[in-house]
Amino acid sequence: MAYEKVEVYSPRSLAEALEILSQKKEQIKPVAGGTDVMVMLKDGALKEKELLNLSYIPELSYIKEKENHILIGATTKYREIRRSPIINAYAPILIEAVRQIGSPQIQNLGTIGGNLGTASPAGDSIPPLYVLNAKVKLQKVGSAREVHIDKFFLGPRKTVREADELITEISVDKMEPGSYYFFEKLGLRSANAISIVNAAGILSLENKTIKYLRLSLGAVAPTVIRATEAEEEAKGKELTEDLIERIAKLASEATRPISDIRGTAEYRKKATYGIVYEALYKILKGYGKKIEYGFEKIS
Amino acid sequence: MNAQTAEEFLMEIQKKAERGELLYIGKELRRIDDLEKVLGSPIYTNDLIPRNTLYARLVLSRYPHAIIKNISVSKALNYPGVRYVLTYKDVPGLNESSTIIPDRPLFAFNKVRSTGDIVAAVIAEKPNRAQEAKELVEVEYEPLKPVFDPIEAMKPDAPKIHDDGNIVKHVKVRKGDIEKGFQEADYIIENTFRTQHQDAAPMETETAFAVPRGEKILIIGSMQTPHHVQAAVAKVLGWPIDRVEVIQAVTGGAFGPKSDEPPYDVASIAALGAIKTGKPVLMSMTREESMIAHTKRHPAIITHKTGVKANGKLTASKVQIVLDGGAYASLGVLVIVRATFHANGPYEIPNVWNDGYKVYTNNTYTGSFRGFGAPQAIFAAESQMDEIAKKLNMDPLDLRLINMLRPGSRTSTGQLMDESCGLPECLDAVVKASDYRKKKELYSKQDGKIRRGIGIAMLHHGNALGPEGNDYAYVHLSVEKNGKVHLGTGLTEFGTGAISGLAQIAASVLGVPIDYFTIDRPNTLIHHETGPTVASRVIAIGGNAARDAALKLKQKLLPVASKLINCKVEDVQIVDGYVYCKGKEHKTISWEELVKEAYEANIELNTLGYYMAPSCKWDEETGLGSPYNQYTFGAAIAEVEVDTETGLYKVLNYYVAFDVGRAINPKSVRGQIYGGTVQGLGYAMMEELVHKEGYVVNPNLKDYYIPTSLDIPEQIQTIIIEKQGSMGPFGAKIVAEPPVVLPAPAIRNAIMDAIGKGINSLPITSEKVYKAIKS
Ligand SMILES: Cc1cc2nc3c(=O)[nH]c(=O)nc-3n(C[C@H](O)[C@H](O)[C@H](O)COP(=O)(O)OP(=O)(O)OC[C@H]3O[C@@H](n4cnc5c(N)ncnc54)[C@H](O)[C@@H]3O)c2cc1C
Repeated sequence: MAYEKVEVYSPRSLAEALEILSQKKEQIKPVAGGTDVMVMLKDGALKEKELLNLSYIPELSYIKEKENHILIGATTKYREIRRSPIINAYAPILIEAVRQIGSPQIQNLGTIGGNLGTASPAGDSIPPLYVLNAKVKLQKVGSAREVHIDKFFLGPRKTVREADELITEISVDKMEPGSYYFFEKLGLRSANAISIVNAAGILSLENKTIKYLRLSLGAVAPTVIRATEAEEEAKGKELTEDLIERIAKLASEATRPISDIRGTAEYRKKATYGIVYEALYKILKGYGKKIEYGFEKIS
Repeated sequence: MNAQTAEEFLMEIQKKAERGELLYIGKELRRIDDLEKVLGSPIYTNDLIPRNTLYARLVLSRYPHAIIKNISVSKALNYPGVRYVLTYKDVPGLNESSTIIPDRPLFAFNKVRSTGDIVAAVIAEKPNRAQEAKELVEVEYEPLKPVFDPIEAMKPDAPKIHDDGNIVKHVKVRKGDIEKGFQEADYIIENTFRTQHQDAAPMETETAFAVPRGEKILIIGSMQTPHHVQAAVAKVLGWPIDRVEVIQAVTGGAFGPKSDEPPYDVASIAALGAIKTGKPVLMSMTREESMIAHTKRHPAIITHKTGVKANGKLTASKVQIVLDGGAYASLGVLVIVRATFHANGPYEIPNVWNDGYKVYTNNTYTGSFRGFGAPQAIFAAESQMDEIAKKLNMDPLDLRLINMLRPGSRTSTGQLMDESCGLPECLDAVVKASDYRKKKELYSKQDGKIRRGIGIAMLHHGNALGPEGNDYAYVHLSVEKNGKVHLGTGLTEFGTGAISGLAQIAASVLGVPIDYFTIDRPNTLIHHETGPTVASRVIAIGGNAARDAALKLKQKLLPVASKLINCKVEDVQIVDGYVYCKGKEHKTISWEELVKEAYEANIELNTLGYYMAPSCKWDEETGLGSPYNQYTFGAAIAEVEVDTETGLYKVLNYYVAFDVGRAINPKSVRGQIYGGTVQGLGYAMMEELVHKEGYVVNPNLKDYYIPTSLDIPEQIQTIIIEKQGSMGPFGAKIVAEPPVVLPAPAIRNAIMDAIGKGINSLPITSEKVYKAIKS
């Protein structure tokens, strides 16, 4: 029922938060930026009567380098990701995606952990995490585990997170210098729009030959998916218009979309071809974005 | 007086005087009410309510069509915090909340006809209590067979929504000999166009606050026409109207639904609740309530059959418009009149046969919305023009140049266009601004996956009410002893700046700077009933009343001034707040001194200006005649870029020209053009309130998309053309509505230019573009 009274717990440390969670489990709902939870609350879609507010836990918000990885605290806000010199330098594909999430207001509040927690197949930060080989750290009182991103989601709004666990950290691989990347999003308007289709890709070229392509697609299946057949097809081949067509076709075939008020399943399938084709075509024609360590500007 | 000498100062006044009464006309003055709005001051109804207020929430119908067998409120009444639950049983007067045709009850009683029907209202101490208790109101329904498709609904055996058939209104235009027209044609082109439900989405939803005052009731709320709300509430209460006082609060956007029946609902419910509980009651629709229960733009199914000669001359146009009226008539019975009269576009066509129908269905009801039938009609008419041009292999611009209205032409209803027809100038202006010919040529040679296109749309728009009612207005001016001028009228401000425009007109006539003016809150107790604030008519009609009031005031003041400065009455000049005698500029007194003297001479500085437009004459059966006193004209060109692999497109540039007769305040005119363009862009590209089996699927702003700042083209270039009209003050024509009309057809035609195929239904989503490309 809408407007029901909810009680909010605002712990000041992770330990305290985990303690509360261990007692309340599914009776309490973690909330970080609240950009999804508050909408549920207003719609009467929230079944929990208590909220666990994570925004006063500074130790959950950070961006750090660790060897070949970047560690991102779960409650790190999109605004902080966009401004982070580390992410700009080593994982700019994430910036590409985050720039297109909601609006400045949403980016000021929304967190990457919240996007994972919501587990929408259309979540825009998720496809880049797939191609960055992300690992999600889940913590509970006394223990922690790491789950690879492609094992984290079970379906729309379903994840492997147990009720007594919090998402605490996301770690991603640094991108290889010289590789190309893209994030493309198709929505019904230019901001504050849920993706009808989105795609993230990293393309590593040696001379003209493809060392590897990593390609993930969102909003076209129950979870974000990797287009593995398309990736296989690309490996070791020269990037040509023909190959791009084949890759885009395989990507489109990998989708299992549904129809909703924003678009039909058929269109989602076809548009997948379109956005993958164009992203790779831009790279072929020399308009692609390329990562050069240290030279990326802060957006 | 700074560096300026007294002499220079007087010279300046003299120069201004030479420009006579046009002193502030055409000046980009600031609005009188802007500062508090941009500062976010607490000025709206919801900001004003006292602590002890009770809150109302609506119980809406669960079925699109059903018999109500029983309503039980006892559980809801027992819920903590609930003070009262209103149903039809609580209506002491007439259970009716309608504008023209009395077909809509305030509270549903024997049956429901749409999911927007109000069955009950819960009054509670807190909004959340009311919201929660809503679900405890038990209504027993027996579902009836519904009908959602207006074409189906027109059939004789369709489920009846009211006692009579489902066609509420049929409007006709019959000009010339349509069959002969088709025989003379070398080509006949037929197409069907469809438009969607659009929500007005004003920032502030429908809101009213009622305070019981002994045997009277005070209502403060968000609305366009307080006097209509007053009459509606009095009817529901069964009271004489003078016991109902309605004040229009600062209104956060309106766009039409707030001139239709929704403000009656919120005001009547707040009033009934206040009377039953003895406490002030706020009835402020949630966004969801508003998007389900208020009026929307009618979806339309429009078929065009056009005859044209090989040389491009149009010979015949036959148009059928079917509007999905939803469950109730509302102001929609007038919307179909405007739609049908404008159905053929701004062209001279010798033979015309139009049929317009407003039809009942079990969808939520539709009604007044900026453009009032023109957006649907012109989308179809202007899309049809590009289809014709394609058939003839002719540039759509040339086809328009051959057929468009110009001075000396006659419209579809046979009305003669006089010198004030500025359509050719508008078209010429946008063609030049956009460099149309060159771009058209350039874009015809593209072959890549990203393609650009350029498209034209234009319109004529009959001014003010015309066939929609008596076009009159009152404006009241009174001057305080300190020189301050009060402007009062039952016409309302809801964001357009029009009421500041009235002050600007009065200031020009009086010769007093606008800083002296304050605008009084429209109040039914104080101001005359003055017709509705609709049809963009404040400046054109109200402006004449403001001018009249100012002239009457001036007539009272000039003899006083004449005595005071010893000058012949006809030589007295009032300029920028100073009074002097022509040729003897040294004898200057201030406006304040003049007013003070008038007070001392016991002259009442209080005038009522009135204006009634010449009556419009047309034939009910054939539509022939002059339904409008004057027309606004406009033309737009849109440039788009389409990604042919996804159907995604962007509007790169938009050029738009309007002949507004005379721009009283060019900044306000531009503001209306920008705002209308963006609202029209939403209509063209994304907005659709989706109904599924009578239920609104997306009654919220997260699923109903309106444009964001990123969806707006880099460039919206506005051009103002001034071909003075015969009716409005200083030649002014109306401007607030027409800008919303042009984006849809201009964008549609630009996309057709880019991809070679036309999309005949709104909104034009990337999916529709994609399907057209691949078909
Ligand atoms: C206007 C608007 C526009 C939007 N546009 C976009 C868009 O373009 N793209 C997009 O992807 N999303 C969009 N969103 C959705 C939303 O902003 C994102 O999903 C955002 O990342 C959610 O983050 P948050 O911190 O606000 O999450 P919250 O609302 O706080 O939480 C979301 C979910 O995650 C859970 N959760 C949060 N943190 C944790 C944690 N540390 N451990 C375990 N569970 C946790 C919560 O319990 C909840 O289930 C939009 C939302 C709005 C309101």
